Amino acid sequence: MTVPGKEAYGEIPEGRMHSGDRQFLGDMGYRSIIDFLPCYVSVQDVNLCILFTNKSFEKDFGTGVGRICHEVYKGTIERCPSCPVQRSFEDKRVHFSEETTQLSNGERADLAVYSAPILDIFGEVKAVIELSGNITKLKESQRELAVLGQSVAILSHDIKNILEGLQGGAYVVDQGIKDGDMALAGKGWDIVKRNIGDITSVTRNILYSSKKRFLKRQNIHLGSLIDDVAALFSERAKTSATVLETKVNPSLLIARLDPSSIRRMLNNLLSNALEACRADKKRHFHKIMLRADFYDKKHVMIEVEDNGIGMTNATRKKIFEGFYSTKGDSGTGLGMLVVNSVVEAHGGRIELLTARGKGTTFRIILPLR
Amino acid sequence: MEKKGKIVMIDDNKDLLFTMSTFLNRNGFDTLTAEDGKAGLELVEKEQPDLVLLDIMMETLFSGFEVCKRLRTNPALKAIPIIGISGMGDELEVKFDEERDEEYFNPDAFFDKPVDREKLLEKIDELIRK
Repeated sequence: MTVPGKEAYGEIPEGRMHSGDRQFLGDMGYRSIIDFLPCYVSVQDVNLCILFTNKSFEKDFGTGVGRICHEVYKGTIERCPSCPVQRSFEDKRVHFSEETTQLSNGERADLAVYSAPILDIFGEVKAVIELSGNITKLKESQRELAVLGQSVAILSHDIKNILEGLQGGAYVVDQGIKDGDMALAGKGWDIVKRNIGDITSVTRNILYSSKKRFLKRQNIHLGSLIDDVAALFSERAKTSATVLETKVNPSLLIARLDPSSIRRMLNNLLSNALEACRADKKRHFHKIMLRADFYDKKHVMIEVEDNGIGMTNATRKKIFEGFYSTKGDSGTGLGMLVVNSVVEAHGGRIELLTARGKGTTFRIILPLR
Repeated sequence: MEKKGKIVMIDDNKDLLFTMSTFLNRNGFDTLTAEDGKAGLELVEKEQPDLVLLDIMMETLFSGFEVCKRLRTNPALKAIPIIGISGMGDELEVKFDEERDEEYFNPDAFFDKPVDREKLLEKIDELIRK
Protein backbone atom coordinates (compact mmCIF):
# COMPACT_ATOMS: atom_id res chain seq x y z
CA MET A 1 0.00 0.00 0.00
CA THR A 2 1.22 3.49 -0.80
CA VAL A 3 1.16 6.45 1.50
CA PRO A 4 -2.01 8.44 0.76
CA GLY A 5 -1.17 11.67 -1.07
CA LYS A 6 -3.16 14.88 -1.19
CA GLU A 7 -5.30 13.65 -4.09
CA ALA A 8 -6.47 10.73 -1.95
CA TYR A 9 -8.36 13.12 0.29
CA GLY A 10 -10.34 14.62 -2.58
CA GLU A 11 -12.78 17.46 -2.47
CA ILE A 12 -15.29 18.19 0.25
CA PRO A 13 -18.66 16.82 -1.02
CA GLU A 14 -21.35 19.39 -1.74
CA GLY A 15 -24.56 19.58 0.20
CA ARG A 16 -23.06 18.95 3.63
CA MET A 17 -22.39 22.51 4.71
CA HIS A 18 -23.05 26.18 4.19
CA SER A 19 -21.73 27.31 0.80
CA GLY A 20 -19.35 29.95 2.27
CA ASP A 21 -17.86 27.42 4.66
CA ARG A 22 -17.63 24.90 1.83
CA GLN A 23 -15.53 27.31 -0.15
CA PHE A 24 -13.22 27.90 2.84
CA LEU A 25 -12.90 24.23 3.76
CA GLY A 26 -12.63 23.19 0.14
CA ASP A 27 -9.60 25.41 -0.15
CA MET A 28 -8.09 23.71 2.89
CA GLY A 29 -8.67 20.11 1.76
CA TYR A 30 -9.17 17.10 4.00
CA ARG A 31 -5.47 16.86 4.68
CA SER A 32 -5.44 20.20 6.49
CA ILE A 33 -8.50 19.30 8.49
CA ILE A 34 -6.84 16.09 9.61
CA ASP A 35 -3.70 18.02 10.48
CA PHE A 36 -5.69 20.44 12.66
CA LEU A 37 -7.55 17.70 14.54
CA PRO A 38 -6.69 17.98 18.25
CA CYS A 39 -5.74 14.30 18.38
CA TYR A 40 -3.05 12.05 16.96
CA VAL A 41 -3.92 10.34 13.68
CA SER A 42 -1.80 7.65 12.06
CA VAL A 43 -2.30 4.96 9.42
CA GLN A 44 -0.41 1.71 9.93
CA ASP A 45 0.26 -1.44 7.93
CA VAL A 46 0.04 -4.99 9.19
CA ASN A 47 3.56 -4.77 10.67
CA LEU A 48 2.44 -1.69 12.59
CA CYS A 49 4.73 0.40 10.40
CA ILE A 50 3.43 3.97 10.26
CA LEU A 51 2.41 5.07 6.74
CA PHE A 52 0.91 8.43 7.56
CA THR A 53 0.65 10.85 10.49
CA ASN A 54 -1.05 14.19 11.01
CA LYS A 55 0.63 17.38 12.22
CA SER A 56 -0.54 16.96 15.85
CA PHE A 57 1.23 13.60 15.88
CA GLU A 58 4.44 15.06 14.43
CA LYS A 59 4.36 17.95 16.89
CA ASP A 60 4.31 15.67 19.95
CA PHE A 61 6.13 12.55 18.69
CA GLY A 62 8.37 13.79 15.85
CA THR A 63 8.57 12.00 12.53
CA GLY A 64 6.59 8.78 12.62
CA VAL A 65 6.31 7.69 8.98
CA GLY A 66 8.43 4.65 8.26
CA ARG A 67 8.81 3.78 11.95
CA ILE A 68 7.04 1.13 14.05
CA CYS A 69 4.10 2.31 16.17
CA HIS A 70 5.25 1.02 19.57
CA GLU A 71 8.77 2.31 18.99
CA VAL A 72 7.40 5.82 18.47
CA TYR A 73 4.73 5.80 21.19
CA LYS A 74 6.52 3.77 23.83
CA GLY A 75 10.17 3.50 22.83
CA THR A 76 10.00 -0.29 23.00
CA ILE A 77 10.55 -3.12 20.55
CA GLU A 78 7.74 -5.12 22.15
CA ARG A 79 4.22 -4.87 20.77
CA CYS A 80 1.67 -3.56 23.26
CA PRO A 81 -0.37 -6.48 24.63
CA SER A 82 -3.56 -4.45 24.26
CA CYS A 83 -2.74 -3.20 20.70
CA PRO A 84 -6.06 -2.17 19.12
CA VAL A 85 -4.52 -1.86 15.61
CA GLN A 86 -3.53 -5.51 15.65
CA ARG A 87 -7.07 -6.48 16.65
CA SER A 88 -8.58 -4.36 13.85
CA PHE A 89 -6.35 -6.22 11.37
CA GLU A 90 -7.57 -9.51 12.80
CA ASP A 91 -11.33 -8.96 12.98
CA LYS A 92 -11.98 -5.88 10.77
CA ARG A 93 -13.67 -4.09 13.66
CA VAL A 94 -13.18 -0.85 15.57
CA HIS A 95 -11.23 -1.30 18.80
CA PHE A 96 -10.34 0.81 21.79
CA SER A 97 -7.64 0.81 24.43
CA GLU A 98 -6.10 3.15 26.95
CA GLU A 99 -2.34 3.50 26.71
CA THR A 100 0.40 5.41 28.47
CA THR A 101 3.06 7.00 26.32
CA GLN A 102 5.98 9.39 26.48
CA LEU A 103 5.91 12.51 24.33
CA SER A 104 9.07 13.67 22.59
CA ASN A 105 9.49 16.43 25.23
CA GLY A 106 9.75 13.68 27.86
CA GLU A 107 6.30 14.23 29.39
CA ARG A 108 4.15 11.23 30.15
CA ALA A 109 0.70 11.16 28.58
CA ASP A 110 -2.39 8.98 28.84
CA LEU A 111 -4.07 8.25 25.51
CA ALA A 112 -7.49 6.95 24.55
CA VAL A 113 -6.77 5.00 21.37
CA TYR A 114 -9.32 4.02 18.71
CA SER A 115 -8.44 1.87 15.71
CA ALA A 116 -10.54 1.29 12.57
CA PRO A 117 -9.77 -0.90 9.53
CA ILE A 118 -9.35 0.58 6.05
CA LEU A 119 -10.77 -2.00 3.62
CA ASP A 120 -9.93 -2.47 -0.06
CA ILE A 121 -12.56 -3.26 -2.71
CA PHE A 122 -12.38 -6.95 -1.80
CA GLY A 123 -13.18 -6.20 1.80
CA GLU A 124 -9.65 -7.02 2.98
CA VAL A 125 -7.92 -4.87 5.60
CA LYS A 126 -5.23 -2.91 3.77
CA ALA A 127 -4.32 -0.65 6.67
CA VAL A 128 -5.64 0.50 10.01
CA ILE A 129 -6.26 4.08 11.02
CA GLU A 130 -5.44 4.90 14.61
CA LEU A 131 -6.84 7.94 16.39
CA SER A 132 -5.55 8.82 19.86
CA GLY A 133 -6.88 11.53 22.16
CA ASN A 134 -4.72 12.88 24.96
CA ILE A 135 -6.69 12.17 28.16
CA THR A 136 -3.91 12.90 30.65
CA LYS A 137 -5.93 15.59 32.47
CA LEU A 138 -8.98 13.36 32.60
CA LYS A 139 -6.92 10.50 34.05
CA GLU A 140 -5.39 12.86 36.62
CA SER A 141 -8.88 13.87 37.74
CA GLN A 142 -9.84 10.19 37.90
CA ARG A 143 -6.82 9.45 40.08
CA GLU A 144 -7.60 12.42 42.32
CA LEU A 145 -11.17 11.19 42.69
CA ALA A 146 -9.92 7.72 43.57
CA VAL A 147 -7.60 9.19 46.24
CA LEU A 148 -10.47 11.31 47.53
CA GLY A 149 -12.73 8.26 47.78
CA GLN A 150 -10.03 6.36 49.63
CA SER A 151 -9.43 9.34 51.93
CA VAL A 152 -13.09 9.63 52.82
CA ALA A 153 -13.19 5.90 53.62
CA ILE A 154 -10.17 6.18 55.93
CA LEU A 155 -11.45 9.34 57.58
CA SER A 156 -14.78 7.66 58.17
CA HIS A 157 -12.98 4.70 59.74
CA ASP A 158 -10.96 7.05 62.00
CA ILE A 159 -14.04 8.96 63.06
CA LYS A 160 -15.95 5.76 63.82
CA ASN A 161 -13.12 4.65 66.10
CA ILE A 162 -13.23 7.99 67.89
CA LEU A 163 -17.03 7.77 68.27
CA GLU A 164 -16.58 4.32 69.79
CA GLY A 165 -14.08 5.82 72.26
CA LEU A 166 -16.44 8.69 73.13
CA GLN A 167 -19.42 6.36 73.54
CA GLY A 168 -17.45 3.93 75.69
CA GLY A 169 -15.83 6.69 77.78
CA ALA A 170 -19.18 8.40 78.38
CA TYR A 171 -20.71 5.09 79.50
CA VAL A 172 -17.95 4.61 82.06
CA VAL A 173 -18.41 8.20 83.33
CA ASP A 174 -22.17 7.56 83.72
CA GLN A 175 -21.59 4.34 85.62
CA GLY A 176 -19.03 6.01 87.88
CA ILE A 177 -21.44 8.84 88.72
CA LYS A 178 -24.30 6.38 89.24
CA ASP A 179 -22.26 4.39 91.75
CA GLY A 180 -20.59 7.44 93.31
CA ASP A 181 -17.30 5.92 92.15
CA MET A 182 -15.32 8.99 91.16
CA ALA A 183 -12.19 6.97 90.31
CA LEU A 184 -14.19 5.07 87.70
CA ALA A 185 -15.78 8.28 86.39
CA GLY A 186 -12.29 9.81 86.17
CA LYS A 187 -11.04 6.89 84.07
CA GLY A 188 -13.98 7.28 81.71
CA TRP A 189 -13.42 11.04 81.53
CA ASP A 190 -9.76 10.51 80.52
CA ILE A 191 -10.96 8.34 77.63
CA VAL A 192 -13.48 10.99 76.59
CA LYS A 193 -10.77 13.69 76.69
CA ARG A 194 -8.37 11.61 74.64
CA ASN A 195 -10.99 11.11 71.97
CA ILE A 196 -11.94 14.79 71.96
CA GLY A 197 -8.24 15.51 71.36
CA ASP A 198 -8.21 12.98 68.52
CA ILE A 199 -11.30 14.32 66.77
CA THR A 200 -9.95 17.88 67.10
CA SER A 201 -6.74 16.80 65.47
CA VAL A 202 -8.53 14.96 62.64
CA THR A 203 -10.76 17.99 61.98
CA ARG A 204 -7.84 20.42 61.89
CA ASN A 205 -5.98 18.16 59.50
CA ILE A 206 -9.00 17.92 57.20
CA LEU A 207 -9.19 21.71 57.16
CA TYR A 208 -5.45 22.05 56.59
CA SER A 209 -5.48 19.63 53.66
CA SER A 210 -8.66 20.93 52.08
CA LYS A 211 -7.06 23.81 50.23
CA LYS A 212 -3.82 24.97 48.71
CA ARG A 213 -1.91 26.98 51.30
CA PHE A 214 0.73 29.60 50.96
CA LEU A 215 3.27 29.99 53.73
CA LYS A 216 3.14 33.11 55.85
CA ARG A 217 6.75 33.21 56.97
CA GLN A 218 7.53 35.29 60.03
CA ASN A 219 10.53 35.75 62.26
CA ILE A 220 9.65 33.42 65.10
CA HIS A 221 11.37 32.33 68.26
CA LEU A 222 11.36 28.58 67.73
CA GLY A 223 12.06 27.82 71.40
CA SER A 224 8.95 29.69 72.55
CA LEU A 225 6.81 28.03 69.90
CA ILE A 226 8.03 24.59 70.94
CA ASP A 227 7.36 25.39 74.61
CA ASP A 228 3.80 26.48 73.73
CA VAL A 229 3.05 23.36 71.72
CA ALA A 230 4.59 21.14 74.40
CA ALA A 231 2.60 22.82 77.19
CA LEU A 232 -0.67 22.20 75.36
CA PHE A 233 0.27 18.66 74.44
CA SER A 234 1.63 17.50 77.78
CA GLU A 235 -1.93 17.41 79.24
CA ARG A 236 -2.98 15.05 76.48
CA ALA A 237 0.13 12.93 77.02
CA LYS A 238 -0.61 12.61 80.74
CA THR A 239 -3.93 10.87 80.06
CA SER A 240 -1.90 8.17 78.31
CA ALA A 241 0.70 7.93 81.08
CA THR A 242 3.36 9.37 78.81
CA VAL A 243 5.88 12.05 79.73
CA LEU A 244 6.73 14.80 77.27
CA GLU A 245 10.11 16.51 77.62
CA THR A 246 11.59 19.32 75.55
CA LYS A 247 15.19 20.29 74.94
CA VAL A 248 15.86 23.42 72.90
CA ASN A 249 19.32 24.88 72.22
CA PRO A 250 19.11 28.35 73.86
CA SER A 251 21.28 29.87 71.11
CA LEU A 252 18.53 29.03 68.63
CA LEU A 253 16.85 32.39 68.42
CA ILE A 254 14.99 33.57 65.35
CA ALA A 255 13.96 31.39 62.40
CA ARG A 256 11.85 32.49 59.45
CA LEU A 257 9.01 29.96 59.38
CA ASP A 258 5.22 29.86 59.14
CA PRO A 259 4.22 29.48 62.82
CA SER A 260 0.73 28.02 62.29
CA SER A 261 2.02 25.38 59.87
CA ILE A 262 4.88 24.47 62.21
CA ARG A 263 2.43 24.10 65.11
CA ARG A 264 0.23 21.81 63.00
CA MET A 265 3.27 19.77 61.99
CA LEU A 266 4.46 19.41 65.60
CA ASN A 267 0.99 18.48 66.82
CA ASN A 268 0.80 15.71 64.24
CA LEU A 269 4.26 14.38 65.04
CA LEU A 270 3.48 14.42 68.75
CA SER A 271 0.08 12.75 68.17
CA ASN A 272 1.74 9.98 66.22
CA ALA A 273 4.40 9.59 68.91
CA LEU A 274 1.70 9.37 71.58
CA GLU A 275 -0.20 6.81 69.52
CA ALA A 276 2.99 4.75 69.17
CA CYS A 277 3.43 4.86 72.97
CA ARG A 278 -0.20 3.86 73.58
CA ALA A 279 0.21 0.92 71.19
CA ASP A 280 3.29 -0.37 72.95
CA LYS A 281 2.25 -2.91 75.57
CA LYS A 282 5.74 -3.99 76.58
CA ARG A 283 6.91 -0.90 78.46
CA HIS A 284 5.09 0.74 81.32
CA PHE A 285 7.05 3.98 81.10
CA HIS A 286 6.75 6.02 77.93
CA LYS A 287 8.54 9.19 77.05
CA ILE A 288 8.41 11.58 74.11
CA MET A 289 11.37 13.94 73.57
CA LEU A 290 10.89 17.10 71.53
CA ARG A 291 14.24 18.63 70.61
CA ALA A 292 15.33 21.61 68.55
CA ASP A 293 18.90 22.48 67.63
CA PHE A 294 21.05 23.78 64.78
CA TYR A 295 21.56 21.19 62.05
CA ASP A 296 24.22 23.38 60.43
CA LYS A 297 24.71 27.13 60.00
CA LYS A 298 21.73 27.48 57.69
CA HIS A 299 19.34 24.83 59.00
CA VAL A 300 17.45 24.01 62.13
CA MET A 301 16.46 20.47 63.11
CA ILE A 302 13.45 19.49 65.14
CA GLU A 303 13.31 15.97 66.50
CA VAL A 304 10.38 14.06 67.95
CA GLU A 305 11.56 10.86 69.59
CA ASP A 306 9.37 8.28 71.29
CA ASN A 307 10.02 4.93 72.93
CA GLY A 308 6.76 3.49 71.62
CA ILE A 309 6.03 0.50 69.45
CA GLY A 310 8.16 1.52 66.43
CA MET A 311 7.30 0.83 62.82
CA THR A 312 7.43 -2.30 60.74
CA ASN A 313 9.36 -2.06 57.47
CA ALA A 314 6.10 -1.96 55.52
CA THR A 315 4.79 0.96 57.58
CA ARG A 316 8.09 2.83 57.29
CA LYS A 317 7.89 2.62 53.50
CA LYS A 318 4.30 3.74 53.31
CA ILE A 319 4.21 6.36 56.04
CA PHE A 320 4.42 9.35 53.71
CA GLU A 321 1.86 8.10 51.22
CA GLY A 322 -1.39 10.00 51.33
CA PHE A 323 -3.91 8.64 53.75
CA TYR A 324 -1.92 5.67 54.84
CA SER A 325 -2.97 4.62 58.30
CA THR A 326 -1.86 1.59 60.29
CA LYS A 327 -5.13 1.39 62.05
CA GLY A 328 -6.49 4.83 62.32
CA ASP A 329 -7.51 5.03 65.97
CA SER A 330 -6.51 8.67 65.87
CA GLY A 331 -6.25 9.58 62.25
CA THR A 332 -2.54 9.16 61.62
CA GLY A 333 -3.05 8.77 57.86
CA LEU A 334 -3.90 12.38 57.26
CA GLY A 335 -1.46 13.57 59.92
CA MET A 336 1.67 12.45 58.11
CA LEU A 337 0.37 13.88 54.86
CA VAL A 338 0.11 17.27 56.58
CA VAL A 339 3.61 16.93 58.10
CA ASN A 340 5.01 16.15 54.69
CA SER A 341 3.34 19.09 53.00
CA VAL A 342 4.47 21.55 55.73
CA VAL A 343 8.07 20.35 55.45
CA GLU A 344 8.00 20.48 51.65
CA ALA A 345 6.51 23.97 51.62
CA HIS A 346 9.37 25.16 53.86
CA GLY A 347 11.94 23.58 51.55
CA GLY A 348 12.96 21.13 54.27
CA ARG A 349 13.28 17.39 54.55
CA ILE A 350 12.35 14.54 56.89
CA GLU A 351 14.57 11.81 58.25
CA LEU A 352 13.07 8.79 59.96
CA LEU A 353 14.74 6.36 62.32
CA THR A 354 12.56 3.57 63.62
CA ALA A 355 12.77 0.01 64.89
CA ARG A 356 9.87 -2.24 65.78
CA GLY A 357 9.62 -2.60 69.53
CA LYS A 358 12.15 0.16 70.23
CA GLY A 359 10.70 3.45 69.11
CA THR A 360 10.74 6.12 66.44
CA THR A 361 12.55 9.39 65.81
CA PHE A 362 11.34 11.89 63.22
CA ARG A 363 13.94 14.52 62.38
CA ILE A 364 12.71 17.56 60.48
CA ILE A 365 15.40 19.72 58.89
CA LEU A 366 14.28 23.20 57.85
CA PRO A 367 16.14 26.17 56.39
CA LEU A 368 16.47 28.98 58.97
CA ARG A 369 15.38 31.59 56.41
CA MET B 1 -26.36 -11.79 90.31
CA GLU B 2 -25.89 -15.00 88.41
CA LYS B 3 -23.37 -14.62 85.61
CA LYS B 4 -24.75 -14.94 82.11
CA GLY B 5 -21.53 -16.19 80.62
CA LYS B 6 -17.79 -15.75 80.17
CA ILE B 7 -16.47 -13.59 77.33
CA VAL B 8 -12.89 -13.25 76.14
CA MET B 9 -12.21 -9.86 74.52
CA ILE B 10 -9.24 -9.46 72.18
CA ASP B 11 -8.37 -5.91 71.15
CA ASP B 12 -5.13 -3.93 70.94
CA ASN B 13 -6.92 -0.79 72.09
CA LYS B 14 -6.76 -0.61 75.88
CA ASP B 15 -9.52 1.98 76.06
CA LEU B 16 -11.94 -0.20 74.16
CA LEU B 17 -11.10 -3.21 76.32
CA PHE B 18 -11.76 -1.17 79.44
CA THR B 19 -15.01 0.49 78.34
CA MET B 20 -16.45 -2.64 76.76
CA SER B 21 -15.57 -4.89 79.68
CA THR B 22 -17.12 -2.34 82.07
CA PHE B 23 -20.28 -2.48 79.95
CA LEU B 24 -20.35 -6.28 79.74
CA ASN B 25 -19.59 -6.75 83.45
CA ARG B 26 -22.47 -4.47 84.35
CA ASN B 27 -24.73 -6.48 82.09
CA GLY B 28 -23.98 -9.74 83.82
CA PHE B 29 -20.98 -11.17 81.97
CA ASP B 30 -17.56 -12.16 83.19
CA THR B 31 -14.86 -10.75 80.95
CA LEU B 32 -11.23 -11.61 80.34
CA THR B 33 -9.08 -9.43 78.12
CA ALA B 34 -6.05 -9.83 75.88
CA GLU B 35 -4.23 -7.04 74.03
CA ASP B 36 -2.98 -9.05 71.10
CA GLY B 37 -4.04 -12.00 69.00
CA LYS B 38 -1.48 -14.47 70.31
CA ALA B 39 -2.26 -13.81 73.97
CA GLY B 40 -5.95 -13.90 73.06
CA LEU B 41 -5.70 -17.37 71.53
CA GLU B 42 -3.89 -18.66 74.62
CA LEU B 43 -6.57 -17.13 76.82
CA VAL B 44 -9.38 -18.72 74.80
CA GLU B 45 -7.65 -22.08 74.95
CA LYS B 46 -7.19 -21.86 78.71
CA GLU B 47 -10.55 -20.35 79.65
CA GLN B 48 -12.88 -21.98 77.09
CA PRO B 49 -15.22 -18.96 77.16
CA ASP B 50 -18.83 -18.85 76.01
CA LEU B 51 -18.01 -16.23 73.39
CA VAL B 52 -15.09 -14.29 71.89
CA LEU B 53 -15.33 -10.59 71.09
CA LEU B 54 -12.63 -9.93 68.55
CA ASP B 55 -11.18 -6.74 67.07
CA ILE B 56 -10.59 -7.42 63.40
CA MET B 57 -8.04 -4.74 62.54
CA MET B 58 -5.40 -5.43 65.19
CA GLU B 59 -1.89 -4.42 64.25
CA THR B 60 -0.30 -7.21 66.24
CA LEU B 61 1.45 -10.44 65.32
CA PHE B 62 -1.89 -12.22 64.88
CA SER B 63 -4.53 -10.04 63.29
CA GLY B 64 -8.23 -10.59 63.92
CA PHE B 65 -8.39 -12.57 60.66
CA GLU B 66 -5.65 -14.88 61.86
CA VAL B 67 -7.19 -15.35 65.31
CA CYS B 68 -10.52 -16.22 63.70
CA LYS B 69 -8.89 -18.73 61.38
CA ARG B 70 -7.00 -20.41 64.21
CA LEU B 71 -10.10 -20.65 66.38
CA ARG B 72 -12.18 -22.03 63.53
CA THR B 73 -9.61 -24.65 62.55
CA ASN B 74 -9.01 -25.88 66.09
CA PRO B 75 -11.49 -28.74 66.80
CA ALA B 76 -11.52 -27.94 70.52
CA LEU B 77 -12.35 -24.27 69.98
CA LYS B 78 -14.27 -24.05 66.73
CA ALA B 79 -17.71 -24.17 68.39
CA ILE B 80 -17.06 -21.01 70.41
CA PRO B 81 -19.07 -18.18 68.87
CA ILE B 82 -17.07 -15.16 67.68
CA ILE B 83 -18.25 -11.59 67.25
CA GLY B 84 -15.97 -9.42 65.11
CA ILE B 85 -15.74 -5.69 65.72
CA SER B 86 -14.28 -3.17 63.32
CA GLY B 87 -14.64 0.34 61.99
CA MET B 88 -14.58 -0.86 58.41
CA GLY B 89 -18.29 -1.59 58.19
CA ASP B 90 -19.72 -3.73 55.41
CA GLU B 91 -16.56 -3.45 53.32
CA LEU B 92 -14.75 -5.72 55.72
CA GLU B 93 -17.15 -8.60 55.34
CA VAL B 94 -16.69 -8.52 51.58
CA LYS B 95 -12.93 -8.50 51.95
CA PHE B 96 -13.11 -11.33 54.41
CA ASP B 97 -15.06 -13.52 51.99
CA GLU B 98 -13.07 -12.68 48.89
CA GLU B 99 -9.63 -13.03 50.37
CA ARG B 100 -10.19 -16.16 52.36
CA ASP B 101 -12.91 -17.75 50.32
CA GLU B 102 -13.61 -20.06 53.23
CA GLU B 103 -16.75 -19.34 55.07
CA TYR B 104 -15.66 -20.82 58.36
CA PHE B 105 -13.06 -18.09 58.85
CA ASN B 106 -15.88 -15.61 59.30
CA PRO B 107 -17.05 -14.59 62.75
CA ASP B 108 -20.67 -15.41 63.55
CA ALA B 109 -21.53 -11.72 63.57
CA PHE B 110 -19.94 -8.39 62.77
CA PHE B 111 -20.41 -5.13 64.61
CA ASP B 112 -19.40 -1.82 63.16
CA LYS B 113 -18.04 0.97 65.38
CA PRO B 114 -19.50 2.76 67.23
CA VAL B 115 -21.01 -0.48 68.49
CA ASP B 116 -24.75 -0.43 69.18
CA ARG B 117 -24.63 -1.72 72.75
CA GLU B 118 -28.22 -2.97 72.91
CA LYS B 119 -27.91 -4.93 69.69
CA LEU B 120 -24.59 -6.33 70.86
CA LEU B 121 -26.22 -7.64 74.05
CA GLU B 122 -29.03 -9.22 72.03
CA LYS B 123 -26.56 -10.89 69.69
CA ILE B 124 -24.38 -12.17 72.57
CA ASP B 125 -27.46 -13.65 74.26
CA GLU B 126 -28.56 -15.27 71.03
CA LEU B 127 -25.15 -16.78 70.25
CA ILE B 128 -24.54 -18.03 73.80
CA ARG B 129 -27.98 -19.67 73.93
CA LYS B 130 -27.40 -21.57 70.65
